Amino acid sequence: MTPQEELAAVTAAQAGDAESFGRLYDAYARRIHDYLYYRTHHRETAEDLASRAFLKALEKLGSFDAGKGSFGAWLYRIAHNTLVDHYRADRPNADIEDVWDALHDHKTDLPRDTDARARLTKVEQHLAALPKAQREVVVLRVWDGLSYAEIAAITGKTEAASKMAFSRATAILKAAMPLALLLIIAARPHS
Amino acid sequence: MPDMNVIDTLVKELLASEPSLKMQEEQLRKAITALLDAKPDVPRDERFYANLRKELLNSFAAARAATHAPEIPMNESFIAKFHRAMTAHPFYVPAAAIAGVLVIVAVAAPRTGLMPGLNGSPSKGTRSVALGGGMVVRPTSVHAFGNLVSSQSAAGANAEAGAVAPSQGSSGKMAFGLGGGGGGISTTAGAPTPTAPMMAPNAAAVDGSVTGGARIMPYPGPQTYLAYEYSGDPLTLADAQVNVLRRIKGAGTGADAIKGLLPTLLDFGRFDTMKLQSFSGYEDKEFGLSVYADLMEENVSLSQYYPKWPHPESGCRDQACYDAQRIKESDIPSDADALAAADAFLTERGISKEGYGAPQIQNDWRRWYAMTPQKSDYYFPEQVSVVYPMMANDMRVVDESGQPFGMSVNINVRSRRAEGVYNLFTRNYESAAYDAETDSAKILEIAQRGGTYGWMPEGTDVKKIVVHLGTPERVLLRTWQYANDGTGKELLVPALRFPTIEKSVEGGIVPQEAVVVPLVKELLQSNGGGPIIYMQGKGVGGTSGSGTVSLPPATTSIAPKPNDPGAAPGIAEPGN
Repeated sequence: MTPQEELAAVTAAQAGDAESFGRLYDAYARRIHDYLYYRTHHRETAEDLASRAFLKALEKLGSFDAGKGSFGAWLYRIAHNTLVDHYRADRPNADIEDVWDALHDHKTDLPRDTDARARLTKVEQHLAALPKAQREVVVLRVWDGLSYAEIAAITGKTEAASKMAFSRATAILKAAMPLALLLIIAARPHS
Repeated sequence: MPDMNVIDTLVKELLASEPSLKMQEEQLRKAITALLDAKPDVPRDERFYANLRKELLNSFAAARAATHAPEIPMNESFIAKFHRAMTAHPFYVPAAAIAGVLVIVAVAAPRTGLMPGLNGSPSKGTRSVALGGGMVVRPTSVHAFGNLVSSQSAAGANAEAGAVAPSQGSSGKMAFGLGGGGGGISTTAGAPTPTAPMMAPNAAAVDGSVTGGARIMPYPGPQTYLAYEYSGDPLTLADAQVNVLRRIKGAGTGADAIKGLLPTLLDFGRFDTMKLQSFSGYEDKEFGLSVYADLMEENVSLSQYYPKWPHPESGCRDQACYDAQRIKESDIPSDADALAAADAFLTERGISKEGYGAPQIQNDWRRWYAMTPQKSDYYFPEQVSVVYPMMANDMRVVDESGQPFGMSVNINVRSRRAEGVYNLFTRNYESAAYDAETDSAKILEIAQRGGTYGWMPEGTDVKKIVVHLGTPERVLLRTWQYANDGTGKELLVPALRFPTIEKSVEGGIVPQEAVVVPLVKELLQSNGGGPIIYMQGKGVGGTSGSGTVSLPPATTSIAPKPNDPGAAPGIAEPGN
């Protein structure tokens, strides 16, 4: 879906065209689910949050204003808020804006998929060492594959600031990368 | 295994942002690789996506039924005012309903003259507005549009988004090169499958030396890059200036024409203070269509009215059912059948083809399918798109990936009926002359690099596969001129479209069918529209293939970090 088609679909959906909303859903369902899975590491939880996020998007569709940003960024923002609500329910008194902190708070007993947990241990100590803003930008860029323009729209920062955050975060990671981790990477089966 | 293209893209971005990191490029790659390697594999359940879709559409329909159409809250800027107006003037309630019906009538029976723009014959009293018909171009002065380079790096953002491939299995489509891709109707089409080999899209000579002296960390396998080599006729560029077209839209042009359709039935004069933004309607019949007219963007689109089309898969509750309902290759209409269906549909609906070139089928999926080892895993598209390329100044209009841009008719594969038309908009433009690049060597160098946003991979473990570029076609590149305030102007820029000769090489697909290079000088030297700018190479050698053009090696550089463009556009808080 091109940006023009997306905008047309959004406007048509706002005007009551269900199929247009369906097309928007098709374009974003997997991406939003991915976003939520990367931040919950639990299949059922991610699916539940994705359902809630899309229902919320449907309810709030009339409030979307294309003049303020892209539909995708708006949708990711809804997903983010849904995620924060999810963690806030588990830790009502915590500063939950930083989802990564919540995810890696071992005092919680949130369910996690085994494979995701194993993979994450490779880098979590390093990501956890990053400032919150940099960490989120790194994950949005590297895992979610979002452009800096999209990241800027989601995080409320400027594009330039997002690029700078990513650059600085990677420099920190580079410096902190332990030999053991590099060996793991080098020993990966070639395919 | 992390995608090497993604790693290269990210490293390149970082080096552009922080050139001081160049000496530590190897460490940088390790860090990025580690991050990508740690990315969890998302477990997918296609039934979940299908069920959620059904639930959402049911909710949508329930909302409609609860409050009468249209019930989904629409854009505040129009609807809130509309609601207030209706409260104050009950006349508008039936009037609005009539408006919706008339849109249908206008599309279904254009020969009534109610919607003259669609059949290309301007109505009496309307201005020189071309919707489905001819094109209007108003000459202006030289450089009338100011600097063509975007204030915002929107094009760059597209390139970035395309360069970083979505995760495996993601529904996001990959875009290549200049950030093109997507388009058409492929939201449910058979996306490139993880098992289909694909070559890196970027063109570059890769025999340059490794900079920095540091050895790149061994990769699991050699990186494979496509290196474009020009093999067409000698290129001569005689025009010192070329005409760039900029689309005109907004109050007083197409919107007035559309509003003028209903003068005897609706007093649209009353809308002067409330700015009618759009209207829509649908055909309440089997295989009915939704119609949507956007008066701000001055376009009309038709799409499938979902409740009235068969969706056999929507009733499935298990995988066996879904599998049984999957589109089969034999379901896909032949190109001739698709073209005939599209033509018949346009004729039936009275939509003129004037101003459009010979239609083409967008069937990239055939290439992907051919390359897919596990044919049974492939999901065939639900629609086939027929594109009628827009023509202007006797040239085809193409998008940044070289694909024809124009009116698109979607053919539903299951029913073999046309289910929609997109990119049907007014074609009013103004024209201004801009300095053109006449150095054919420079144009070829950029083409061989893969376009203005192409780049050269570095490293010792690089495998180069040559893809030849043929003699270019002169086209108009549809692109955007963005301003800091987020507004954008649509431009048609003279450009050369170099077709790729090979469509697949060494078992992999050449993702781009063409490389497009604009001919306007300032777009070649842009440092604000994207991450890559052209810089004269300082090395020796080259990859010229024509024998008549001597090229320096392609040397690319990332654009310097732009000044902080200010606060990012705000996102409407969803209001949890």
